[in-house]
Amino acid sequence: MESVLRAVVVYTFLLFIFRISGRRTLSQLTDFDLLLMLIISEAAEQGLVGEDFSLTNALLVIVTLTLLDVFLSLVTVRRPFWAKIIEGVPTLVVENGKPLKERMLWARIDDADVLAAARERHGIVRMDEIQYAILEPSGGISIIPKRND
Amino acid sequence: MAARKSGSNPPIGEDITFQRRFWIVERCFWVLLTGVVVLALGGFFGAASPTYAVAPAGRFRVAYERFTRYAAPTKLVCEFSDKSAGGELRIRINDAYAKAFKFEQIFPWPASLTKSGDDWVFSFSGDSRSPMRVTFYVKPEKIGALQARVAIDEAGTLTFRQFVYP
Repeated sequence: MESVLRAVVVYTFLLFIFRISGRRTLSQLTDFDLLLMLIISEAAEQGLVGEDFSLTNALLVIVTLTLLDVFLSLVTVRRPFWAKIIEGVPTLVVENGKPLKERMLWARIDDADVLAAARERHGIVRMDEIQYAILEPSGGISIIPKRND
Repeated sequence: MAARKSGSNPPIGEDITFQRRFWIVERCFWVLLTGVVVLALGGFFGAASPTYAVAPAGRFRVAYERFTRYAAPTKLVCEFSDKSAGGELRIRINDAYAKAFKFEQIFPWPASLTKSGDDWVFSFSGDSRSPMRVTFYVKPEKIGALQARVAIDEAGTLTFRQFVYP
């Protein structure tokens, strides 16, 4: 009983924290971000299992977390509004080579982030070569280059 | 927030109205989380400097954490100072409060522990007990508000509340 409740609370809390910390958090993982993730997972682990290190407890926690994840995926597929809240929506940040500065500021990304994504995926080095740049719900930046026809 | 003037609206499923609202909500929660951290630094979630409950005559006081956390180590320090007294010291702790904790260690170790009515009586022997300090190292096993009643027979009774976070 307690294991299930702990798993539900920790899962919900992590979902909430990562959602409100913004997409940037997971999109560009630096070495330090990775370290931070490990520390967070360690802190969460203690909240999940408490002082009960039994195999049963571990299995219960894993089953609960997996079920929660399945349930959440069902909700996001069937309820578009909840999908927006839980996963977010894509946001256009560059249009016709022009950065939409105000949106980028709110989303906490800058020209360098967009250009880095453009370089990595399309070998593009200039902003005016980009038709659209889209900040995806996953935190990644999709680049659609301008057509040369 | 200025609206985008140009735009062919690529079919990406964008909902900028929702996104703008969400950015605002996001920032409101950042403020809230900052508040949580500030409260934590102020001891609102436990492990702050101790709170003291002092008996009217001032001969007896208990130091405790007003806020503590489930299964986290905390302590209850009973200090008794009565220069004229001697012999055995008996500290009474009400049953409901005592049962909310797992007693990890008591220093000095009591000579005896007995149940008297609704109280647990911890007896400490010694030729001179002034000033005497007894520390109960405990871990909360119940969550929520706890009502404590700690007494020393001739020095008075102290009542205080503690809150245990999950």
